[in-house]
Amino acid sequence: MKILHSENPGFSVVAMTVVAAIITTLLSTSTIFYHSEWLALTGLALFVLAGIPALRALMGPSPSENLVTERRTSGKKVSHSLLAVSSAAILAVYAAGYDRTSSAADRLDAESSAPRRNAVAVAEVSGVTPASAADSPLASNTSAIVDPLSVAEKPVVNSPTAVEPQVAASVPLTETSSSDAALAPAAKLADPVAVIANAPPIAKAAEIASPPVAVPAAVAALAGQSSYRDGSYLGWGSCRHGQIQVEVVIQAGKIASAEIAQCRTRYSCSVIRTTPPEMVSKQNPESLSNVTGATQSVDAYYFAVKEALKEAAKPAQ
Amino acid sequence: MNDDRYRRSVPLMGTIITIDVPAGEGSSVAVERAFQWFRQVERCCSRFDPQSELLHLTRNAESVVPVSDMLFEAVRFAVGLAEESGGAFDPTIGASMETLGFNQEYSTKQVVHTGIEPDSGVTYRDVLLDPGEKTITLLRPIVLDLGAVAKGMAIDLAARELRLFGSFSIDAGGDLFMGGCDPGGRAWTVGIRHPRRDGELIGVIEVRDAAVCTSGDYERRQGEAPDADHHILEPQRGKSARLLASATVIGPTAMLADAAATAAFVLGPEEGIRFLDRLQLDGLLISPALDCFATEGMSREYKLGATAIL
Repeated sequence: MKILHSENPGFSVVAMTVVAAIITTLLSTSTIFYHSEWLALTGLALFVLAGIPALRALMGPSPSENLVTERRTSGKKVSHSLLAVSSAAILAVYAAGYDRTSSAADRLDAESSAPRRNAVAVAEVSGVTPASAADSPLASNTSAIVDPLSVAEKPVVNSPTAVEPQVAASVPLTETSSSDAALAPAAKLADPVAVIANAPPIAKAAEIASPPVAVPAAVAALAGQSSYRDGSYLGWGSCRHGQIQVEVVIQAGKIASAEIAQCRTRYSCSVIRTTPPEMVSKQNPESLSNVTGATQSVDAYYFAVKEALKEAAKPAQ
Repeated sequence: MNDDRYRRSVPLMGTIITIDVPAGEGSSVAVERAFQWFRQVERCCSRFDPQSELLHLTRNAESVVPVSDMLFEAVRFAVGLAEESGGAFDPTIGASMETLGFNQEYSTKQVVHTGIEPDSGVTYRDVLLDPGEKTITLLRPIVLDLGAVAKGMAIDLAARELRLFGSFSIDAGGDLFMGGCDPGGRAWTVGIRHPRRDGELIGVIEVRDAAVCTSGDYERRQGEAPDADHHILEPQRGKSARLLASATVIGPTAMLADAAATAAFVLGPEEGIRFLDRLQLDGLLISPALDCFATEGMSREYKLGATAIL
């Protein structure tokens, strides 16, 4: 085996200075015995002179003593642009998270099920119009044109009691129908075929959604329109990673708790453990904040809460 | 196995990935997230999945294709290493790999044909990257093979996910990342596999917080014969490289170590060592005759144990 060894020059320098320090110490102490002050002073001076490099050697290598290391480091700087590229790559991909680094196929999936903020934008607006287009993928895509912040979030945040109007749930049908029997009504409501068939032409949906001026009025009309009935309501929500069931408890017309009842996502739901308390404090699913790296789980939680609240908002039978 | 460790193995990327972290609250979640990165990278960069973004790019040769951060970074690094290695490593060898029969999805056995013929004139220079727009343009019909980069990238992403544990290990079928120190606070001991004797080690090294990746001709072979094709190709010839039996490289990132091991494997003993020296990486190259060639740092920094060496 061919293994090359290199000397460490730093080591011999340390040894030399230590020896020098010992010699001068001996010299200076011996001069004291002779009561010769100038000799003692000289000895002291020598001790200090020898001591400085000794200290420096102990504290850390001086530049000249460490040529080997230095060359290595500078070499790393030059040739390790590749290391920088790989590190930067990992940082970039990691920082973007699973979602934004998802492949083209995933992106298509995600677009067809529409990000929740955008879906909400359409839901709020179309609630005013008789026909609901919320679940039509086309309509969802249309909503992407609308600034979701100005349309959906701001007005709703201002009215914490605002209730989702009678719009079909934004939950994609495939997941909904595969869930429990408790979901059957929602599944019927959300039947995309029916919705698409009844949906107004896409152009119309876009027309409704695009003038932002009309929206605050629409939302204002919705505020206070209904309140929640006290009780306990279950709802399912799904995302690419699976499904979450949330149990929303309404007391005195307000959300008293919104705990995760079942977690069927690929990740443990502990990644969004801060979300249920946030739901209770904010009272409004639209103002839920995203959790870094767990936006999908928050989405599923959001849809589940929306579905439970929809039940809660229904007039008592 | 220790009670205070949490360990999981999952078959992914054509091998078994094993992650080992200290047991505790959040261990299982973090490990699951780490595995998720492997799944994500595989879905993005697989040459065997028609749905992968990589094959989407292949199908759109000769046009400007916007790609995900993940694919962009993987290809950018692969092209960078191709330049640095003078073409000994080249991600554009996918079509040659297919021709040699390395086109089968390992679990479903599904065979993927892109219909693109190997072209000896194709090199990494035919891949254009636009970092501003995050687009990739293949100037000719090209099948990219990111095998040597994607696994490293997945390991590094998983390592980043597990960083807070201080002491963890990721074993992705012989490509390792040893995070921090071992549970006892000492350097991790890593064995280097004997390229010709299954289950035996040819050397032992000590590492802290480093990736150790090995490219070996024994990993994916088309048969038992000594001259059977294996999966590390000489890009220019489109044939299996024969100068080495295995190349092990230690690096700060698995992406770099894995790809550099592949390049060194193609370059052979002398050039391979020079290449690693130039990149300031350390490694051990073993020829088919079992001659060992090590960079000087192997014994000095990683205490390469010579006892096991023939």
